[in-house]
Amino acid sequence: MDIEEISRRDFIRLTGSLALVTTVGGCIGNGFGGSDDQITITDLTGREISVEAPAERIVVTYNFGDVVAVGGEDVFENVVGFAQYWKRFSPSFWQKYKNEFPQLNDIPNVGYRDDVDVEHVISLDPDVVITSKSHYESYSNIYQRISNAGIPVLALNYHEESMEDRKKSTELLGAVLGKEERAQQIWNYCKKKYDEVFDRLEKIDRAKPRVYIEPRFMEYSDDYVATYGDQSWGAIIDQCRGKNIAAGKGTRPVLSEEFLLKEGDPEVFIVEGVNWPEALGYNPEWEEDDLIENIEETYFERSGWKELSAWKEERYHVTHHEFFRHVYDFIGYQFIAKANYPSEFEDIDPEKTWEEFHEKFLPIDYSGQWMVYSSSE
Amino acid sequence: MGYNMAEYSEETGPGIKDIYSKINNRKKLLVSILGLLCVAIFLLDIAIGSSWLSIKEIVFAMLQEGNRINKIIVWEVRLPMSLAALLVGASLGIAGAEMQTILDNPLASPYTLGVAAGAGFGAALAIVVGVEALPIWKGTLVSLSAFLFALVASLMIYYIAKLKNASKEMMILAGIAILFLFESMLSLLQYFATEDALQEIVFWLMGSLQRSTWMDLGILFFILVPASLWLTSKRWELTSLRLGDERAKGIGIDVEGLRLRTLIVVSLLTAVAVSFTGTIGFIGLVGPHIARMLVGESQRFFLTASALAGAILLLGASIGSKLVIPGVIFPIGILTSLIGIPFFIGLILTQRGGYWG
Repeated sequence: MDIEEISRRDFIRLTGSLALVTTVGGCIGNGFGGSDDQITITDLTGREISVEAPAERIVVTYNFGDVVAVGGEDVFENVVGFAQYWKRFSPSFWQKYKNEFPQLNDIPNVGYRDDVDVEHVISLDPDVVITSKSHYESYSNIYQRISNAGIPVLALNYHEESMEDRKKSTELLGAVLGKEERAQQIWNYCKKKYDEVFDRLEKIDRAKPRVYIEPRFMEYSDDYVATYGDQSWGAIIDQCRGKNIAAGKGTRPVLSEEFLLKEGDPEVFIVEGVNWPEALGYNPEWEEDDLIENIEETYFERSGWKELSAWKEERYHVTHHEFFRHVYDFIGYQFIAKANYPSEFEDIDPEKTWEEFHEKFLPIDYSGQWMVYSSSE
Repeated sequence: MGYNMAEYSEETGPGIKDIYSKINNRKKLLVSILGLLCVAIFLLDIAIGSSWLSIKEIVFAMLQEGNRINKIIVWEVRLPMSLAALLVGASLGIAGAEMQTILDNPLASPYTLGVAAGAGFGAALAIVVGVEALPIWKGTLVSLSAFLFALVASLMIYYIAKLKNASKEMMILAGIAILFLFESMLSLLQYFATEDALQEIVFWLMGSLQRSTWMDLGILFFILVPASLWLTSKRWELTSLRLGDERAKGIGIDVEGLRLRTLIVVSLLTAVAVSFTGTIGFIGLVGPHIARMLVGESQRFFLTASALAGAILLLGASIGSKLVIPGVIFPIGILTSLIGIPFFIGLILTQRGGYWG
């Protein structure tokens, strides 16, 4: 698919979406059009909240990447408080965005998860606090206290791999940030990418490949690291017609060596890099070959691993931790689908899609290396 | 174990009454100083917070005057946290003091006998099961479940110990067994919990003062007051427990009954404190030791001093948790130990002679 075709299609969709947005805006409340109106919306926890939109003073304690995607550059003017979790958990994003928007560094840190300082949040006098449904529910005392102080809390849900929730979260972000059109463009783009993956998968009737995914936190560990069961990557593997060998074994099970070598015998092995800046991210030091070589010299030196189908068939791949639980999860779907069915997804390049998403929607330039397939793909 | 009999054995000799009242006056003075210190640090805790309100603004807000945000900050954020620190610290201090007394063991704390492990399991169970079932009432559900399982743990100890004449050895062994039982059940829950629930359990266990509502504070207060009154009414009996079971029986005390009833009261205090704030460690161990070093074993001073020492420690940690990373509430469970331990070791080292009589 060439770029021109995409833009043309997008234009058609954009015109269509404008009509849709008007309807959504109407349904959402009286907020469409004018500025500084109160809009009443139902967030992803099912609570009805009343927000001044477009919100000009925003505190974000989670889903910052999604706020940036929908809100664009304006976000860096309007966010008055931030749980600086990027600093610790996504250093590559932190560095990249900080270089581009130095003011990011000056946004007050309000604390993360259970550390959120309620007093600090209240004293910033925000129009809205944006977090995830999972954080809202896990730290309900904190968010209820913030709500009780008359500050609306908007909870999003990109966590449960649900299309409906992703759509709604994106639209709500658009409504609250005053970026309805842009939100709709983003969602239309995402939807197209998801549909493409699912349409192709539907036509496949071969046996599902056995897949094993292991997170790598900076340093390699000889011990097996807790993999993903039925959620997150586990759910994506399943939705991409793969057989996650850890399915049904708990949320984050550590597989036994014996099970993995004998019964599990993955045909596809995936390393998902968490906070592994020399290999993945906006400014990695390693080339593709270094990365694959590193995988071969670490994971496949574990006892018995040279007997695994994944080694024999040369199907071991690496991706960044970023591609699930976000508005741009479809990158993760493309990556896994291609890993599972290389021939059916030969023409799809998730890294290119990520680059395209940057060009279309993110306020920073694409750079670096985010995923690598072993040579057979 | 040698007994520090100075207060009991010198029944004869001139001026004994003078000496006794001198010692008592000194102890009264020490308890009053602790009390004043507690009030001061409580006020300091209210005065400190990330938005750095001036004293004037705080006073205005307290009187329900002035800026809306300041009022919310003082009434909905600072006061509940400071009061929680005060009440939970006092509850844990008292619970620890009586646990050490009835078990005649300096290592005992409110958490020794698995009461907190029961609470931890109860909270985790509600977090794992309750998230889906009752998301809105989850906070209450977690506290309630923590409380119930803390009581289940202590009732199990109670009945096991009762079978064997409520000896302290039996109680400790039963308690340790229950502790491990609930800890392994907690691990089991953690193993099957979702990633978010797991994170939440970990944070719950670390403890936080940001959780308690005005309602919780009311409940804490109405458990703490009758519990302290009851313990005060038993002050002489409890003091004599430290003479050893045989001697206490010799002077006509129902040792088993007293021990079991005190266990229930201590469990109630611990269960309520822990269920609202999570397992904030160390206070219940060190508070009583500090009190004992200052005023000795006699319960009428020891009880009050333990409550005050516990409250002071937790209020101090609360101030610390607001200051370590400005704008972020640092987990209090980490600070209680980091602040308390050097202080505690300093106290032990500067004590003359052995003090655990």
